[in-house]
Amino acid sequence: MLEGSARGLWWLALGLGCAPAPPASRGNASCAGCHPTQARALASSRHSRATESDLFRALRARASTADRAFCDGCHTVHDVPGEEGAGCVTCHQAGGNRGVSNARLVLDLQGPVRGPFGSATSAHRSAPGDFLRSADLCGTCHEVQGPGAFVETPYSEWSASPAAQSGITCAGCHMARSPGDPEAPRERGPAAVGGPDRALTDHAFVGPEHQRAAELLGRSASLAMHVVPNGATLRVEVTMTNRNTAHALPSGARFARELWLEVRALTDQGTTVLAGAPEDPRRVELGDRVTRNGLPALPTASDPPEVRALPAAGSRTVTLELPASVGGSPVRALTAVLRFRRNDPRLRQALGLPPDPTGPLDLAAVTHAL
Amino acid sequence: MTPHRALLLALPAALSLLPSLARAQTRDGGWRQGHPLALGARASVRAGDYALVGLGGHLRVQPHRLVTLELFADHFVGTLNDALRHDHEVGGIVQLNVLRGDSWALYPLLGACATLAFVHSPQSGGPTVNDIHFGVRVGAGGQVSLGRGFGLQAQVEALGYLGHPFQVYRFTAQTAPDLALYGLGQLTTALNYSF
Ligand code: HEC
Ligand code: HEC
Ligand code: HEC
Ligand code: HEC
Ligand code: HEC
Repeated sequence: MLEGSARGLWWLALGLGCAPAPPASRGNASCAGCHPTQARALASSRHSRATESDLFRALRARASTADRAFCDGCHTVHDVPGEEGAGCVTCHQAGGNRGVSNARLVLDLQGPVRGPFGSATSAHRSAPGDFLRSADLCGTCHEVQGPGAFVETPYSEWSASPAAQSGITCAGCHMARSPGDPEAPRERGPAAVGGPDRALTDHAFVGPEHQRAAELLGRSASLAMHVVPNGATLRVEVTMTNRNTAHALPSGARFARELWLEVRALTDQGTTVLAGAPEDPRRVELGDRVTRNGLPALPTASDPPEVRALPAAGSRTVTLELPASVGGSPVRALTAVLRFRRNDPRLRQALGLPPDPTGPLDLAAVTHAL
Repeated sequence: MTPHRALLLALPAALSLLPSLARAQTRDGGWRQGHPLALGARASVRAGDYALVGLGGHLRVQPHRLVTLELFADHFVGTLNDALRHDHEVGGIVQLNVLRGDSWALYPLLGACATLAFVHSPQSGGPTVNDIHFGVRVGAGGQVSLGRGFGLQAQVEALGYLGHPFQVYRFTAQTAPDLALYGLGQLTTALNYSF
């Protein structure tokens, strides 16, 4: 999927009869000695673990041979043994793309290392990286069109968002010291061993699958609740707001996510879930329904996913009719919680995968006393 | 010597014989109507669906006084959304010298060409795309003798091309999958020398 791989250039050079020295290793290890901060952070990120998940493997195994090669274009792009996903050179030696989607990245491996400073160093050639600092770099992989209806659209959502209008790029939030907060002051320190102090970025690329996910997800949503007693029932209006001004909630691989609204009642007997239990037919969900027929397959054009995400900076209000008492005890307070699980258990079950050991995270909660 | 090289050496030798062939024919007032061979250097501008300027050369062969065949090669440059576009074009046209005087001729023309077009994205180290566009051309032109075998030629042409559209913006360069038609007008001036 990636063009201009070193191997291709090497053969081309041989063919022209003017073989250059073989390219130096393009592995992250070749940069890590001088850039330990970035290397350590990147190793913790999903970019270094893009084929690790059993969900990915199970879905890839079900894809056709051609579609598997497509998956690998993003998930195993970095063809250095022992490393996978996006490596240092994937981003720092990218020259542009052939369209902002589907891994159509163009690498310039003989060219300089692109960086934010445009500083000269004896260690390697550097050049200012306009593409590096743009959302287009990220969008080249974070915009997936197909196979079939298998889509991820953070880049196109961002393009039309208020954040894009104010010039906040993906890195502004996903490489911020405090994930999701583009205003957070950058950490200062040397960008390379022995270098001058610089404003640094965080290469952990914190997302919902990162071990620090809670820091990011805590900024993603807010809830408001309005309750009107109505005889034996309570008329409950819950407004869910996506605080993220850059893209939908959830975005990206939302076919894999479970994101739902739970309303709990506090009575003298204890706490009871009134709405949003797994078997509740009126459960309010924001993750994609994987396929309409519920089978464990990649969505296709004839069986597309149902998108229920909240748009960037968007809100949705749902009205629930709930009982005013539980087991004879009157409801004293109602709590609405927006909950997130990185893998939808129904999808895992349908694929024959064991339950995801990571528990749900609460994105936002609101309580109303009666 | 490879057959390839031999051919390359034989070609100029053969061409150098042609002028003496030509000289054998009658001269009419400096305007060498009857002379079957001319070389020219040309400059062009084209505009329409996109705009480019070009330099090139042509070889003119006149097998009959009414007919001139022109084989040309041009190199065009221009910009496309801040990206550099350059086209290498080769083609041929047939001119019918319907109106002629002692030292001038006017002609309608018809021709075809093939263009290898390149677009380099504005980013250094960024992607380059190329595509071959095929074109047909109709137009009219004329030439006047300047004496001593030199002639000045000018022609206007309407060009139609078929090729894949280039999509170039910021860091992206690609060709679209579906073919498209392009329409352009071209003005060419040339200085010719007939042997
Ligand atoms: C154009 C790039 C691209 C292609 C091609 C691609 N993906 Fe992904 N995929 C991504 C990105 C980026 C994410 C991260 C999105 C997120 O976390 O929300 C992702 C996340 C995922 C996830 C959820 C995270 C995880 O590892 O469990 C799964 C599952 C997945 N992809 C499966 C696939 C399969 C199967 C294919 C091939 C049919 C495929 N992808 C093709 C870019 C791509
Ligand atoms: C997914 C893309 C991506 C990967 C992978 C990546 N980087 Fe970066 N890196 C960036 C971006 C984007 C910036 C600039 C952010 C800005 O300042 O706007 C950056 C900035 C830097 C800087 C400048 C100092 C700083 O921390 O901001 C250094 C040094 C650097 N990266 C080294 C590395 C090394 C070494 C690796 C591999 C271990 C690596 N990067 C992997 C995207 C990436
Ligand atoms: C021998 C040590 C060394 C190695 C190996 C090395 N770098 Fe650097 N790098 C440096 C130094 C020194 C600087 C200058 C730091 C500064 O000016 O703050 C630098 C700067 C950078 C910058 C910022 C450039 C700018 O001007 O914006 C990036 C990005 C970067 N390196 C990435 C990489 C990547 C990717 C690799 C591996 C392919 C790598 N480096 C390998 C020492 C090294
Ligand atoms: C204003 C801050 C902000 C910006 C800018 C931003 N994001 Fe996000 N992103 C978030 C937050 C908060 C989350 C977690 C909540 C969610 O999933 O939407 C997130 C989640 C994600 C996810 C995981 C979605 C999932 O549920 O699997 C991906 C992938 C992602 N962002 C990619 C991008 C890309 C690509 C861009 C640029 C085109 C971008 N983001 C720009 C704040 C931001
Ligand atoms: C070469 C392709 C590629 C590029 C370029 C790329 N990513 Fe990714 N990114 C991926 C893949 C693939 C994943 C998902 C790995 C997985 O979980 O299976 C991912 C995951 C992520 C995640 C984590 C989502 C989660 O669920 O935790 C974030 C955040 C992210 N990328 C942000 C960025 C940003 C910001 C940029 C641009 C500076 C960028 N990416 C550039 C391929 C890429």
